[in-house]
Amino acid sequence: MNEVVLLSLSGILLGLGLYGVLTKKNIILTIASIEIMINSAIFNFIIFSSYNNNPAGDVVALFFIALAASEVAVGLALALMMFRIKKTLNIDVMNSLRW
Amino acid sequence: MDTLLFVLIPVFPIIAFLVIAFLGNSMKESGGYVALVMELISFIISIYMFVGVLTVPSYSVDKYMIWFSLSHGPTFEIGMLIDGFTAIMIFIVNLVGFLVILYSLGYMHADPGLARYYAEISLFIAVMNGLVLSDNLFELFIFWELVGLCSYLLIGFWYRKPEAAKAAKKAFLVTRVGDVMLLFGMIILLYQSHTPLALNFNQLYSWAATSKFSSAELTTLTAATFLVFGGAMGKSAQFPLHVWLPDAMEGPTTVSALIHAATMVKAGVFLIVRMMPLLQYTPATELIIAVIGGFTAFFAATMGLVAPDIKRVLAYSTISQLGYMFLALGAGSAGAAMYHLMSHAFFKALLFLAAGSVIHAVNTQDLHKMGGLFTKMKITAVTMLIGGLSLSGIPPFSGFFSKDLILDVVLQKGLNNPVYMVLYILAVLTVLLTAFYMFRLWFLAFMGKPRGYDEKHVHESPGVMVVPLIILAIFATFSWMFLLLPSFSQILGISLSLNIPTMLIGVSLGLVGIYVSYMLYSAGIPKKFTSVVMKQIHNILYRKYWFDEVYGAFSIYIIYGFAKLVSMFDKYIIDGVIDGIAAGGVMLSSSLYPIGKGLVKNYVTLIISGLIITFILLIYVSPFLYGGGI
Amino acid sequence: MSFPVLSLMLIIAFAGALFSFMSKKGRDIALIFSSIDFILSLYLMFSFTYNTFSYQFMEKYGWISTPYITANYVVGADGLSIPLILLTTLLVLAVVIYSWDEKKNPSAFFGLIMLEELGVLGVFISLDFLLFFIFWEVSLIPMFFLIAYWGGPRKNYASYKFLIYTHVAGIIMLVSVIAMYFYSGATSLDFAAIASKSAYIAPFTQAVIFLGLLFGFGTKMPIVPMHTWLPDAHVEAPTAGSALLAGLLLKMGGYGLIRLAAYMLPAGRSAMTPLMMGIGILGVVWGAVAALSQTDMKKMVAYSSISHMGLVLIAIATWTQIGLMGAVFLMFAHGLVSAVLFMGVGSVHHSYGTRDIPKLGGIADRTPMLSVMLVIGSLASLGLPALISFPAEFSILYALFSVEGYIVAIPLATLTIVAGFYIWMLQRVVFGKYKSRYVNKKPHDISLYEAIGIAMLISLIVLYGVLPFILNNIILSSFIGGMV
Repeated sequence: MNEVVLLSLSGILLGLGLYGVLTKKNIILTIASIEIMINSAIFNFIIFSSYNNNPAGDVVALFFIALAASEVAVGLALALMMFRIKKTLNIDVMNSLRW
Repeated sequence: MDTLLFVLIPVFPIIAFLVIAFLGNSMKESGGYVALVMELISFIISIYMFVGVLTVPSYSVDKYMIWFSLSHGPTFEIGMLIDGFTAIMIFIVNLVGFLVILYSLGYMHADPGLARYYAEISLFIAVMNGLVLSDNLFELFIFWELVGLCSYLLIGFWYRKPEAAKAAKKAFLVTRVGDVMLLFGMIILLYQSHTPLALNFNQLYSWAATSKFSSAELTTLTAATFLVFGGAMGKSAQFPLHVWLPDAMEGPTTVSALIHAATMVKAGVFLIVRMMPLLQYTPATELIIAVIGGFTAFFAATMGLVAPDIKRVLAYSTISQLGYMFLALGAGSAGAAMYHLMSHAFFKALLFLAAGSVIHAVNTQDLHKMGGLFTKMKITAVTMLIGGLSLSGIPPFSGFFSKDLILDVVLQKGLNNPVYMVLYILAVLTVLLTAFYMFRLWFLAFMGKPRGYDEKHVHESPGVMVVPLIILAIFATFSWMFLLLPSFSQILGISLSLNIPTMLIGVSLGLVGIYVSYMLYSAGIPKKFTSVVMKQIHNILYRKYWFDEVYGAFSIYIIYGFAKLVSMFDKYIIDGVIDGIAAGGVMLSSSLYPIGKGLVKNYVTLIISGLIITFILLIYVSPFLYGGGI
Repeated sequence: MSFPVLSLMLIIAFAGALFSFMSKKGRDIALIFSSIDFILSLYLMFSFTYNTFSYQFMEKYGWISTPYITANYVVGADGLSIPLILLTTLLVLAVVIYSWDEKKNPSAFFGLIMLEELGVLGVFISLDFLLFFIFWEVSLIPMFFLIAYWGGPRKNYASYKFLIYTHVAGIIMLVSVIAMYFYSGATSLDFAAIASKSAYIAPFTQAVIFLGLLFGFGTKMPIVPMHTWLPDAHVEAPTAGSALLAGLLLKMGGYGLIRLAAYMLPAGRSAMTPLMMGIGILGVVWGAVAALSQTDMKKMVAYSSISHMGLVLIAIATWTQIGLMGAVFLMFAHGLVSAVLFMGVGSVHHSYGTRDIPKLGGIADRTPMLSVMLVIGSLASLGLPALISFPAEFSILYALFSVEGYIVAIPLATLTIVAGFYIWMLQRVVFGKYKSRYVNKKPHDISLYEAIGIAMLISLIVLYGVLPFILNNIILSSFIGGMV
C-alpha cells in the first residue's frame, strides 16, 4: 500500500516532466522538465530498493544524481551555444539536422 | 580422271576474290583481268571434267574428308560428288561465268565500285562451283547460303540507289524464308536417316532404297522433302516466293545474266535433281512440285506480258522457265529438267547480255523509250532474236528440244493422272504466252521508230561485249546437238524424242504468239485498251496481282505491329512492374517523410506513444498469443 | 601439379588492374597485361589434353576449414571453360585496343576493364563455390562503374537497374547453392564434392533448388521475363562496357546453369525441362521480335542477344551431346559476334553522333571500312554459314528436333525475323542515299585502333566458321563426353 502511494508520486512526477517536455518551448524549461523525469526515475530506484531491502538501488540512485548533474551541465552549455548562434531559446527553431 | 584436280575449280575464283578484295582499290580496271584469268583456268578444268564425264557416262566419284564428328551424333564431312549432273552444271556455271566476266570488262567499264564488283563476282563463281560439287546436303546448304549472300551483295551493288538497297533486302529475306524451310528439311532428314556420313547424297539414296518405310515414317519423309523443296522455291523464285526476282533486276545486267538467270536461280532445280532418288518415295511432294512448277510457269508468264522494263520481262520469263523445270521434276524426269536448265542457261544468259548491250547503248530499261534499234545494233538484235526464238521453242533452236522434252514427259504422266493433264494444258498455254512476251520485247526494242533516246550516241557495243553474245548464240542454237552424243543422253536418261503431235502443238502455239505480237507491236506501241475487261486484266497483271502490296502489308502491319506490341509490353508492363515496385518504395518513404519535422516534441511524442503501444501489446495481447504474460 | 597457369592468369589480371589504376599510362599497362593473359589462354588451348573427360590445370590449396564448412582454393579448366577463358582474354584484349583513344579518366577505365577480366576469368575457372561466388560478385562492380561513370544520358537508371537485377539474382543463386550444399550433406563447397552427392537429393527438393538457380543464372543470361535490364544497360554503357557485358557477363549465366544447376541436379533438370524449353523458345521469339521494332541500333543488338541466349537455354534444356556442344559454341560465337556489332555501333555513334536508325542512311559512302564490319557482324549474327554462329545454331536446332520434334519450327521461323531486322537495318543505315541532315557534318572512318580491335574478332569469326572442329573437339573431348 505504502509502495503504491510512493510509486504514484513517482508516476505523477514523470507525468509532470513529460508534460513540460512536450509543451514548453524554452530550452531551459525543457531541460528542467527532463530533470524532473530523471528524478522520478531515481525515485523509483529508491522505492524498489527499500521495498526489496537491496541497497544496490540506492547506489544506482546516487550514481544517477551525478549523471543528471553532468547532463544538466552539458544541456545548459548547449543552450548557451544555441543562444549565441540563434539569438533565441525557442527549441522549435533547432531543426537543421533534419535530413 | 584425276578427281583431286577438280578441287581447284572453286579455288581459283577464291584466289581472285582474295586478291581483288585486298588489293583491288589499287588495281582499278586490272582487277577484271585477274578475275578473268582465274575464271578461265577454272573453265578449262571444268571442260576437262565435262569431257571426261562424257567419255565415261556412268562416272560417279565421291571424295570427302571428315569435318567433325560427334560420338553420339552425326559425322559431318566436306567433299565432292562428281557425276554427270555435276559435270554438266559445272560446265554451265563456268562457261557463263567466264563469258559474263569477259562481257563485264566492257559493260562495267569505269564504274567506281569496280574492285568490289569483280571480287563479289569471283566469290560468287567460287561458291556456286562449291555448291555444285557438294556431296552432302549440309555442305550444299553452306554454299547455298553463300550464293545467296553474293546475290544480296550484287543486287545491292549500286547501293546508293534506294531501290537497289530495297531490292537486295527483299531478295535476301524472301529467299531466307525458303532457306529456313530447307534447314528444317535437312534437320528432319538428318534425324531420320542416320547415315554414317551426315546427309551424304549417295548414302541417303541407298538408305532410302534399302529401308522399308512405315506410313508414319513416310509422312515424315514427305514433310522433309517438301521442306527441302521449300528451299528450292525460295532460291528459284517459285510461287509464292517469286516476288524477289523481278526486283533483283536492280543489280547490274551482268549480275542478272549470271546469277539471276543462268546459275544461282538454277540451284533450286539442281537441289531437287539431287533429291530425286528420295522424291520417288514421296509422290505427294512430287505432285506439289509439279503443281507449283506448272502454275508458276503460267502465272509468271502472264505478268511478263505487260512489264514495261526490258529486264523485268526477262526476269518473269526466267521464273516461268524455272517453273517448267520444276514441272519436269514433279513429273519425275530429272533429265528433262536438267536439259532444259542447260539450254535455258545459254539462251537466257544470251538474252540478258543482249538486253545489257541495249541498255548500255540507250541508257534506259524502259521498253517504251526504245524502238528502231535494229539498224543501229545489228549483232545485238540478231543474237537476241536467236535467244528469243530459242526461248519461244521454235526449231531448230535448242529451246525447242528442251521444252518439247518437258511437255512430252508431262503429257506421258498426264495420260494416267488428270492433275498432270491440267498441268500439261497450262504448260502448253504458257508456250503461247512466252512467245508473245518475248517478241513483244524484241519488236518494241528493235522495230518501229525511235521513241525518245539520244540517237547520235547509239552504236553497237564493243568487242568484249559482242563476242560473248555470239558464243552464247552459238550455244543457244546448237546445244541440242549434245543430245546426239549417246553418253550425254545416257547421263540424263533422255533422248531426242520425236513425238510429232506434241511438237506440232508447241511450235504452232509459239508461232501464233509471235504472229500476235508482230501484229500488235511491230509498228510501235499500240493504242490503249478500250474495253473495261481488258483494262482490268492489264491492271491486275501490271500490278503483279498485288503480291508486293499484300506481302508488304503483312510485314508492316502484322509482323512489325506485333514487334511494336512486344516492345511496348517490355517497356510498359515488365519495366512498369519493376519500376512500379521501386516507385512504390520511394512513395512509401516520402509519405512518411513529413512526420520527422525536426521538432523535439514530435519525436518525444512518438517515442512515448510507441512505448505505450508496446506495453499494451505486452500486457494485453501477448498472453493470448503465447499463453503467458509479463 | 605443374605450372600454375590459371592462378597466374588471375594474378596478372589483378596486377594489371592495380597498376592501371595507379599509373598515368593505364592503357599501356592494360594492353601488356591483357596480352599476356591472352597468350596464356592460347597456351591453355594448345597444351590441352584431349579425351580426358576431367578437369585439367588443376590447383588446390586449403583455404577455410571448419567443422561445418570447408572451402578451398580450387581452380581448373575443362572443355566447357576453355572456350570461355579464351573468349574472355581475347575480348578484353580487343576491347583494350578498341578503346585506345578513351579520353575520360583513362587509367581508371582500363583498370576497371582489367578488374572485369579478373572477375570473369575467376568465375570460369573456380571449382569451389565460395570462390565462384566471390568472383561472380567481383565481376559486377567494374561493370557498374563503367556504366555509371562512362555511360550515356540515363546512366544512373541503367547502372542501378543492372546492379539490382544481377545482385538479386546473385543472392538467390547463393541461397539455392547453400540449400543444395546442406541438403546434399556435402562437407566441402568444392564443386566435385557437391556434385558427388547432390544427385541423391529428393527430386522435389531438387526441382525447387533448380528453379532458384534457374532464376539466378537466368537473370544474368538473361531469360524472358527478367531481361529488361539488358537493353537499358547496353544502351547507356560505353562501347567497351557493352562489348564486355554482352560478350562475357551473359556467358556467366549460361556457364553457371550448365555447371552448377543442370549437371548437379539431374532430377531437378528433368522436372524443369518443359519450363526451360518454354522460356527458351519464348526468349528466342521475344528477343527477335522486339529487336525488329527498335530504332536504336544498340538496343536492337541487345535484343538479338536475348534471342541468342534463348537458344542457349533451349540447348541446355535438351541436355544432349550435340545440344550442349551447340550451347557452348553459341556462347563463344555470340561473345565474338555481339562484341563486333557493339563495337561497330559504337563507332557509328562516335563518327556520326547518333545511333538512331531513322537518322542514319547510306553510311557506306563515307565510312566504307566501318560499313564492311557492320555487314560482316550482322551476317554472322543472323547465322550465315561459313561464319561462326551457323554450326552452333544448327547443332542446337538439331538437338531440339531430336528431343522435342516439330516444335523446332518456332525458333526456325524466328531465324527469318532475325535476318529481317539485321538486313533491314543494313538497308536503312549502311546502304541507300547518304543522309547528312541529322549527323555530324564530317564523319570519319574508324580509327586504326578501332579497326584492329574489330578485325581481330572478325578474323576469328571467319576462322571458326570455316573450321568449327577446332573448338568442337575441345568442347566435346573433355566436358560433354563426361557429362551426358
